[in-house]
Amino acid sequence: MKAIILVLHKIYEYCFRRNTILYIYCALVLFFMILPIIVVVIISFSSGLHFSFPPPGFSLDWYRRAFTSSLWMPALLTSLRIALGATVIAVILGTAASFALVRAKFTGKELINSFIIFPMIIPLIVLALAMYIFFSSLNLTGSAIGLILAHAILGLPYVVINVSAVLRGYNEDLERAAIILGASRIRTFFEVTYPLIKPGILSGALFAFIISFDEVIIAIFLSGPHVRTLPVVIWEQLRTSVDPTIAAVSSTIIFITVAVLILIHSIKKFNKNMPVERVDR
Amino acid sequence: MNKKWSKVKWSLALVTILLLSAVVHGCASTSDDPDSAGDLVVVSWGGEYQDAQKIAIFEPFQEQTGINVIDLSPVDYAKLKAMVESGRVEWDVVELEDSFYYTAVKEGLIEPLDYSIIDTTGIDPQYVEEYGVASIIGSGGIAYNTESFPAGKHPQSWADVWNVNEFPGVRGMTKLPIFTLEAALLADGVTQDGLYPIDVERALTKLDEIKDHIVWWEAAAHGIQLLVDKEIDLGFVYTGRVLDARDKGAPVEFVWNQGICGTNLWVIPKGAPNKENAMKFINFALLPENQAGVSIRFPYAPSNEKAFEFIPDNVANDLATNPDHWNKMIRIDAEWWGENWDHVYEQFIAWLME
Amino acid sequence: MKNLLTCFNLKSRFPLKNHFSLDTFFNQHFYMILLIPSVLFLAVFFAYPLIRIASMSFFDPSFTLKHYIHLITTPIYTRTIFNTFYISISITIITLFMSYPVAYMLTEVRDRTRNVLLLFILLPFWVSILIRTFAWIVLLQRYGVVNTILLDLGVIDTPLSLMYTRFSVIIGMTHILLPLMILPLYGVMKGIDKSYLRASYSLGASPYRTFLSVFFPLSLPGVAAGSSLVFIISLGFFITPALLGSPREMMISMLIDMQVRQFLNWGFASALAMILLLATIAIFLAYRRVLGIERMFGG
Repeated sequence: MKAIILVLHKIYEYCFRRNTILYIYCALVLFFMILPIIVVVIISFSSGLHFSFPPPGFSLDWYRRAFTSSLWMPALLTSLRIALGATVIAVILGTAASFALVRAKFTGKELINSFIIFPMIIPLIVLALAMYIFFSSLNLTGSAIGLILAHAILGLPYVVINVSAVLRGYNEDLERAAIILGASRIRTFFEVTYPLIKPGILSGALFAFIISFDEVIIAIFLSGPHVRTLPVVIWEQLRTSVDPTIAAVSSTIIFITVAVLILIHSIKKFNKNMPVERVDR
Repeated sequence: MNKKWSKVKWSLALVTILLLSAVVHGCASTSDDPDSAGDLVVVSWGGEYQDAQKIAIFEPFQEQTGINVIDLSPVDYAKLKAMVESGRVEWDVVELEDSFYYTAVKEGLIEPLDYSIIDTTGIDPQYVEEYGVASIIGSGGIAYNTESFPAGKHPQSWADVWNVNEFPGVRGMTKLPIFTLEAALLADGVTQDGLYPIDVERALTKLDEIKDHIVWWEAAAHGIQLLVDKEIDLGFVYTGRVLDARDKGAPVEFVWNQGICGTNLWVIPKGAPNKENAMKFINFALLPENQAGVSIRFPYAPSNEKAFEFIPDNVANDLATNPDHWNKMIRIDAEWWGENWDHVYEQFIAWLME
Repeated sequence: MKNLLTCFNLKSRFPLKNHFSLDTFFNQHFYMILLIPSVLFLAVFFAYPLIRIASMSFFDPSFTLKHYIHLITTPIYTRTIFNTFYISISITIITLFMSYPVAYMLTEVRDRTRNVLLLFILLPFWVSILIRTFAWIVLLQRYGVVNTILLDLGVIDTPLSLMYTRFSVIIGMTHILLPLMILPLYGVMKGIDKSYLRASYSLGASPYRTFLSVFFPLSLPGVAAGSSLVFIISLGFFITPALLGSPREMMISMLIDMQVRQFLNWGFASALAMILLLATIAIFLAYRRVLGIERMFGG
């Protein structure tokens, strides 16, 4: 018995020190994470009728179908419109709020911070139900405005987090210098503050955009005959006819998501090179 | 410095204005055609069936009247009820199943039809109701995938469907008590006369026998999709869907024996925004040529007898109204369902979750 | 001279609280005004609807506990709640075990490798849940990818029934929630000073012992953060169980959806939503008391 434990211990030591098994294990996990997405993309290019794997051949048919469809294209446009609207609202409100949260000192700041972050953690189904009932009484269900407002609430925390992060690492002396040199408040904001926090605003905006673009649950509850977002159409199709056109649509969304992520990443990298870090912290 | 700042400020303002106007314009515009004679929202059952309706009825109606037809799917009874009760009805014409028709009448969810606008010549009086008129005579029943069950070895009755040893595979059933409970009782040896009122307990007990082998589908189009993809090997699917898929080359077949018939009715939700257009639409939909147009593309029988003049014989033979088939099938007691739907549905859902 | 005058103008417009000139760029009050639109917006469109469903669950139309009583006394509903918690806990544990080594490894590798690996993690994280669930449908269907590969390889004769089972729900949700566990874990782990580990080795402890007594306790904030996040989100999950599971895997969220859209019982749906909400708030508060909020998102 002791011998077995000794052997196991030796194996464990070997692994822990050499890390090979760790690496293999992690490779498996990461492969597991990325695999389904790759499968979807591969299937979207399949010339076969169903989800046969490996696909019999290469074909852009499904993409053609998706992009000429009277079902998918209006939904895409609706999604874009709503995401845009939600992002604009979230950015305006969120940026303003970030300034207050970072620079002002008042009691209850922690509380308000939590309040703003709360939509991020609340179960979406609860929020969907609440908004559905509330908007019903306002006749806003099935309208674009309702959906835009709802998604703005979801995007707001992301903008606040991103802009606050940039603001916190930002040296206020630059602004003071500008004022001392005679600039007005507005001018200082546009020429000094804004360019420097722009990366934060941009990344927050992109996050808010993706969140709105991909959001399903609230969209299901709040959509109507005239307003159906892309995820809602995907959801409906998944419950009736599942075919590779959905794969093509999904792949398109994946590509858009990747593009936005790369954009955010490059913005953050660009921001890192800017010398606006606080020196005295 | 000043110039640059102004440029930045103005370009920012311009972009924001463009974005906001795009958003506002998007929100405001609902109807595409400003010259249209109004809108009409029609709700039906989706998939190939609705595609057939689109070609045979919706598009010709739009062309002829200039009314903008928006067709949606699937019919959601709860949504219908919610809309009528909250006073915010978005649908103008809905195609209801006969079993729900009686519930809808009971709960005051639909408008009485104006038969001065709607012409019902050629339609058997039994299909003309105060609040609805039959659109098609449909059915559902045993369907199987021919690759799973070659000819001669396929299920021919509900008892066969319950026989997992001789007919192994995954069964598909609709996630509703209607049709499902009837199938179970038929498998248990009950005949049409003893079917109603339905002994729910007995049906559920019978269903327990194959519960682990059942995949539940909700939308009609999903049911046939599962069968074609062989996600299910056999089970309950709507006739029209099966035959349509078969005619398009899919390896599926329908068994007429012990099929279950019902009718669908056109109704107008109470408080529909475009009631006038809705009445005109229903009148148009009942015309023989238009009904035939649907039946030719999707094998459900028309409610208008005159439509048969426009339907070729080979198609007519595949319809439920063919006496060969008609006599083998069971008819739904829509009135019983209308009265008992609510509590039977709750019982069924509870059983599903066990 | 012009500059001095500007200085004076500003001074008179903003009465200073202390003798440092221009201590803050803008007045405190101005900042708080900036906060008002957001707070108002959230109050009207976020807080109020939530309060409304809370009241709807208790007042129908007058004060009544009938929805909650109905909830507690009907076996299927209690079973659903129990189911939801059971599945959520299982998923939390599974993701924790899968994520811990990965997060650790992220701290060990070189920067460049790490960026690539983080991409592997962040990409699925940001891809829509619906699409990831769809991917699992494609994989697990009866004649989907997994089965066709196994059939082609001759490993099995008849396709495995992978869909519409608890297995498919758990694997789908785990896949979706893994990044949410890895990121907070990594965030905490990267802050663990490696010199502690070196000190432990130099004092004679085995790697095993070092891990148990030094590294693991220091990583606990990350464990708490990730677990809380994963658990809360699992509780409210809707899309994946609805698409990948059978009626037996019904979770609270699906029940809410059914009650709202099929039974039109808003009061009862609100009661269910309150249960979810209270569970979420409870865990959130407990977590906040132990650590700060920012920790939850990986530092």
